[in-house]
Amino acid sequence: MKGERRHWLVRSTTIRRLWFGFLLVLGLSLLAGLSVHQHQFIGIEDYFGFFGGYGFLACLVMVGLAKLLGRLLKRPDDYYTAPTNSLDSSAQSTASQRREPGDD
Amino acid sequence: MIEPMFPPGLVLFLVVLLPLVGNRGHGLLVLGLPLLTLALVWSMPANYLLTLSFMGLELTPVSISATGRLFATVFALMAFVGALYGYRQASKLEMAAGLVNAGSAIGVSLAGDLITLFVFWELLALSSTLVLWAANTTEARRASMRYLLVHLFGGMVLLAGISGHVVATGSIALVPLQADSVAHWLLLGGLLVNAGAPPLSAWVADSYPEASPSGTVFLSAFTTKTAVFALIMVFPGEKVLIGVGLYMMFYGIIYALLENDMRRILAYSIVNQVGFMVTAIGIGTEMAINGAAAHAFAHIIYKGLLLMAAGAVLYRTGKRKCTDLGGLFQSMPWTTLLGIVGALSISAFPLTSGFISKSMISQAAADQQLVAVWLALVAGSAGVFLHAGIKFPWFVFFQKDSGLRPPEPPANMLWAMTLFAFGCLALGFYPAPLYAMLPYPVSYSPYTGAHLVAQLQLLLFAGLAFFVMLPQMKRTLTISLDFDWFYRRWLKRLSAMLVDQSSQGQQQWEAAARHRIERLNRWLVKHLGLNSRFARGLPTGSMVLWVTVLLWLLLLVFYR
Repeated sequence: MKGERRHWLVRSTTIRRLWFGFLLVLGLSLLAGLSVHQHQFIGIEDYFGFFGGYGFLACLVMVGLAKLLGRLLKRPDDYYTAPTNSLDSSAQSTASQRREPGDD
Repeated sequence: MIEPMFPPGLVLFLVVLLPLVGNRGHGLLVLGLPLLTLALVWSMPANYLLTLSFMGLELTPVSISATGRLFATVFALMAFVGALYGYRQASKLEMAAGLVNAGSAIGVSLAGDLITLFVFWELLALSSTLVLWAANTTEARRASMRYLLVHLFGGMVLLAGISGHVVATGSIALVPLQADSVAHWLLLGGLLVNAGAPPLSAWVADSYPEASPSGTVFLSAFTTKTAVFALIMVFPGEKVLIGVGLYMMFYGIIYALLENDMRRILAYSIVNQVGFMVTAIGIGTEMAINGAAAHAFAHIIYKGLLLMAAGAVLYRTGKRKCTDLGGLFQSMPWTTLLGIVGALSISAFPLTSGFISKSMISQAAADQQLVAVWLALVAGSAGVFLHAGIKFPWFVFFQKDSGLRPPEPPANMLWAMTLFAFGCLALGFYPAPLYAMLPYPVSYSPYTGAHLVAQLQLLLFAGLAFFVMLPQMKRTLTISLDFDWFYRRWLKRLSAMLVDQSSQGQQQWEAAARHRIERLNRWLVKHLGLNSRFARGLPTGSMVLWVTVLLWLLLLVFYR
């Protein structure tokens, strides 16, 4: 780190170049697929870019699924540790309410 | 050739001498014992058996099989590197528990009968609990108790299964079985609890990330992989394992994608990776079993490396949430680099250990014409890159600049990471020694043009998907509910409700009793109290009058 200068890796020009390089590699991997023959066993894995396309789609589906399940399953990260939890302790709060009148 | 009269794993138990030796003996003990164990494992002849009569049972405490030797080897290596990583940082208790943990795992992998296996199995659970406990935080102690409960439950199920099997067959031999009776299902269930299989998968992510930086490294290696070993030995080719394994694979991916804590991400990823192995055991061909064993070997090394990198970050920053981290590559370049080697290995990039092991599993599925399983395995491989291969290094070392500039970890931690990074690459460049250790002869060559292109396309486009969907992957301060909700919340609520109900009942009963006592009291006061008929004072004159009346009556009655 030289003074206020940002690290070379986080400058926007570097990031643009990295994206360019990444896309180039992606293209090359697709082209390389033309030169090899995948073993035919379900009949589609030798299509152009099958593994790239399948991997990409699989990831989209998995992230989508995670987002959906997240709506159902996500809780604040102090869910189990917080002493009283306004979101979820209806049973406990009613319990304490019920106990109070009996104590006097 | 040495033919020891005891299980080699017990050598590691000598670490309990740790409090007795001084500073100089410390290094000799914690680094020397794993190496001694490794030497012992390899000096024993193949198919060596040690038998022992105990309470009418013919035990086989040591039985050297190819699979067992492979697992014992990687467990001993892990013990060495784990001890180096925690050399100065781990407490004496944690170091001792960690090495006993390793010794128990080695004990399981060289066990020749179900009883020996069970004894080491339980020692494994107890020592893991102690490793967790040694982190010495409230959260870790609570997690250790939950861990212990889950594993004692699993051990009980396993023991029930073993007992049923022994009663039915009269044999305690460690032989391949099929899930065809209640006892065998219990046996399978007990083994699967330790593998992190559903529904109790949550224990992995609940407990491991609560240990200390070095404690997590120890824990990550042993429990789940001894379960993989046991499944290979007892249930190879059990078809139900294919479904269980695939579920674990996607469970790990989905939960890791939702997770914010860096070590919990890696813990979910353990379940994911063990899922690959369990699926392979379910497929059960020679190729598949080789794949499961090779993948377990490779996995212990790269997962240890990843957790060491995460531990180094935690050790230096005290932070574990992705939302608090980022930009650390600027001041921790070596940790970043070594962490990336681990990330590439878990993603099975060519020239890393994951590439030469995981591909055997998908190859086995293809060989058996299991189209759906093969497609799921390929999608799972892309998902591994997504949730661990990029997500972990990206959110910890890159993404936004958190402003943190922690120094590199101490030298012993860096060396431990370097050793395992070297292991990842060495296996990737030169898989022959690992292949030679596998249970069956290997006629598989991972480096074909078709395989290279397929894997590179798959991973690169998974990487593209990650960066395209980066806005969707924004970390939030959340956890995700899992099955542990049932024993951490639901049971707690249930017991609170029961306490509540019973205390209400008690109050009602008390009120009724008090009412009755008060009524009795009122009656007594009314009839015997100060103003009652019996307590009233009477004039002396009326007494004399009544005595006179009585005397007159007597006179009348007795007058003849």
